[in-house]
Amino acid sequence: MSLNKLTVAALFGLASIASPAIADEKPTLTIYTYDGFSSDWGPGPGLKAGYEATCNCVVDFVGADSSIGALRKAQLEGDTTKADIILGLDTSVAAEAAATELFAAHGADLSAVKLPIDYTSEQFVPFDYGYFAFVYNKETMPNPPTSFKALAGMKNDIKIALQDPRSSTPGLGFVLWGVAAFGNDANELWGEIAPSILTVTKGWSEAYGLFLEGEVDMVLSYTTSPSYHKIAEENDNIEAAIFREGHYVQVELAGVLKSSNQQELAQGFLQYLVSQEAQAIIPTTNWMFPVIELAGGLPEGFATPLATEQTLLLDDATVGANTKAFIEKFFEEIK
Amino acid sequence: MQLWVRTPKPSSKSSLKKSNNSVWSRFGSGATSAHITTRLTLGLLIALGVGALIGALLAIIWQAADLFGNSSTSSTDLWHLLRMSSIQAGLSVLLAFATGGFTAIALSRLYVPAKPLILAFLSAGLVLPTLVVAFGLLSIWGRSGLINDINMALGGDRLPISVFGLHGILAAHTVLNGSFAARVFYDRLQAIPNTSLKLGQSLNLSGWQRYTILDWPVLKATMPGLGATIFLMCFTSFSVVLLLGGGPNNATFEVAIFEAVRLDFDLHRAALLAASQLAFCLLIIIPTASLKSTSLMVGGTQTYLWTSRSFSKSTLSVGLVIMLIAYASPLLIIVWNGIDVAIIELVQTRRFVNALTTSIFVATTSATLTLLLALTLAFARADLVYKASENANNVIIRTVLNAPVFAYLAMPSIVLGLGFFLLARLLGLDTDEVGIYVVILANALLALPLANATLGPPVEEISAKHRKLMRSLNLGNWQRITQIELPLVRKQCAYIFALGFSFSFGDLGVIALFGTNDFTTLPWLMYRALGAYRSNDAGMIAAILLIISVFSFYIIPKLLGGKQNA
Repeated sequence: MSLNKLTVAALFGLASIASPAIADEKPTLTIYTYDGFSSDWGPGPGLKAGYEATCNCVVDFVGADSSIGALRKAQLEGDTTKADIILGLDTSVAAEAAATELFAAHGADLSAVKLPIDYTSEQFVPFDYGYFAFVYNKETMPNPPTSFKALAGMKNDIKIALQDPRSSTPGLGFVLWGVAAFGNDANELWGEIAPSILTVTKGWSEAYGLFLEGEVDMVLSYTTSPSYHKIAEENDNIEAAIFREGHYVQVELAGVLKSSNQQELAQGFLQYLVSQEAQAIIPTTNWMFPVIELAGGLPEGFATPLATEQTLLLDDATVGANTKAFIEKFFEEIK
Repeated sequence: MQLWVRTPKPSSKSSLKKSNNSVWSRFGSGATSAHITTRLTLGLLIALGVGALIGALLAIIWQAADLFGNSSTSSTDLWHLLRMSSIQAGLSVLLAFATGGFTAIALSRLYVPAKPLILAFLSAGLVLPTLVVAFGLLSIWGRSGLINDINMALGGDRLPISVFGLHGILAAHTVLNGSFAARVFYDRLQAIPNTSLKLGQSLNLSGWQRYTILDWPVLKATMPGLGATIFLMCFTSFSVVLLLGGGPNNATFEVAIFEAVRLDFDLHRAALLAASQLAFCLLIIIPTASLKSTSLMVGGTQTYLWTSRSFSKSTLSVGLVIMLIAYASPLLIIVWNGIDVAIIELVQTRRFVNALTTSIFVATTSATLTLLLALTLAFARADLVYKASENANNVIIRTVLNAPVFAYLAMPSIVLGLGFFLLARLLGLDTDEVGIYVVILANALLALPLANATLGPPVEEISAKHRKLMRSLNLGNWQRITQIELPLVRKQCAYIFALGFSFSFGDLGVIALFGTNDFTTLPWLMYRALGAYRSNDAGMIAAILLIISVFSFYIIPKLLGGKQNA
């Protein structure tokens, strides 16, 4: 490549970035979310197209590094934020988010919503959910543990990868899972599992990468993770280990900011978010369960929701008040 | 033993006085203090600008904290973190120097086929996203890595080694930084004049004597800047440490800061943590920044190869092959794993083309900026040598010129991101629109310490060696630059451009808060693919990144580096 071509490429890049989108008369609905949601592979593009078809508006997803990052961005921007909706917060930070008093009552009709566990909130609309679980490869691991107790007994015979609860949603989910299943005895559990923990990564991607590379036998992920491998890769070997003690559920939420001057559009989007059309997009883009019963059912090969008695969830208030203490205990035990 | 003509030590009072009366003192007045010349002014402006930026980023976070007033506690044991990070970074520097020094010496003493390609490879590891290299390392040394696979195919058991723990972190850092150190050292060894080599050969110096008399002085000159850069990069290394660390014992400041910024939203603590990391790193930075490079040789291109004798030749050859395999295997396996027929489909997708275009734009502008900043700083420091005054002010000025550049490296990226975001808002800028310019600036500043470490020593040497000549010709500033200095460091400039180019392909971490939807870079696309289960796509992008990077280290020096510099 000659230097000239390089320059042309650079200028081309500049031009494509500098030219602003053609001004539109339609109002813009700005949604802050986590990057994975708004990326090409996520549900963002499909939801944008779907809502734009009816709303006579432009939907603009803005991806931050994490859902909590999206919330922090809106907080830092204060009254001048462009965001109308924050999407992707989950049940582990709902209390914290509600405490900011930035969110308006959602006003959506959620009669069709069917979660495996009771979850009601004035401000937040649930739009998908998943269960934390350890994922394994049945070719290399024919006999996975069937409970936390069994896992704890395996010590050095098994290596698992976890995520840091301070920087990763599943990581935090794991800590809450232990507390929900064992209460105060969670400390003991963590101590017993400690020898099996190969490493604690910053984010989900690194830990999952370790699993795919064969460095660990199991990785903390979701019961829906195998669905990706079955549906997109036609690989039936990846499975989620179902534990007797039950599985902690993560419900993802969306809420409208009080500061938004597009209240009606934003409320409309939340209602759209729990519609058949929008929910049908969720399973194979976000790889989570839809919150309503899909008319066409779940895609073939997709995981099935667990029974209510297998579902664990701590209430928002408990989580909000104790998360830090739980995390500290967890680290103390696994050191 | 003295194998080249030493430039007279610039210490005599009379020469100092003479210089004071010359054209460079046009700003000057004080008889004893260093004169502030145009070069120095520009250099100081840049250095102080970077310093002010760091200060502003911290201050604005501190100030924003008052708005939210969350206060929290953390169980993070700061001293433990400082100790662990220091040990890890210190060992990483030693290993990088030892392996890099050996590799450079072996390369300079042996006839090696495809040297330019090997040299291009030696810099490539450093500029890849560190996570990619860590996974490359696992593909070789991991439980299901190549070595275990081969071993088990041969009927052996799984090796009882694990790459997780401190040694894993060190191995990854050595692959990343040792190969880079080898590249920089090799460049310096190439600057030893032909005449010195021939003289040494005729004197029948042993391999060891050659090392102590010829090699060590030039290697030594590069070590402070290079060492400080590597130390800081390892100290703040985040994803590698967490991935290979094997648990929270090896956690870093970054996680603690992430916790403060994201989970607790306690910005006071975030600013304090960042400031304490910075303060600690300054203990390393300031002593190194005040040093001047004392080597006396100038970067002419060596054309003479003094090959080693048979015994040391075979030792060196074996060692070199082992080192090159160790350095290159984690990278080669990335290419091997990533090359797939699906790559043809991938490179045609809109998202790939967009990401590539943006990356090239970011990399080109950012590398240009890095080069300009590094040259200005190097010229300013060279002026201190040129004027040859050895007073205390010079040490201070040298420190002021160097320290901020390194200090930027000591800033955690999440704090940089937060600070830039708040700063942009304070300045009334639309964060959606300025994101890409922030990326360019942030990347340019991130590559600057490396550029500084590469360019600083040769430019200072030029002043030391050609000082008398330049003075007697009464060259003006501009003439000095265009006729003496630039032509002599053209090769280094080309290398720095390649370095900046590959380095700045675009980690977007720093604009996480700006919103990144309108543009994506290749590394970002790779992370997205990883986060969306698409490890195949991520693997292919990693391979493409590596190929582009090797290619640019191979081709840019050819394009920009002048004729003799293949």
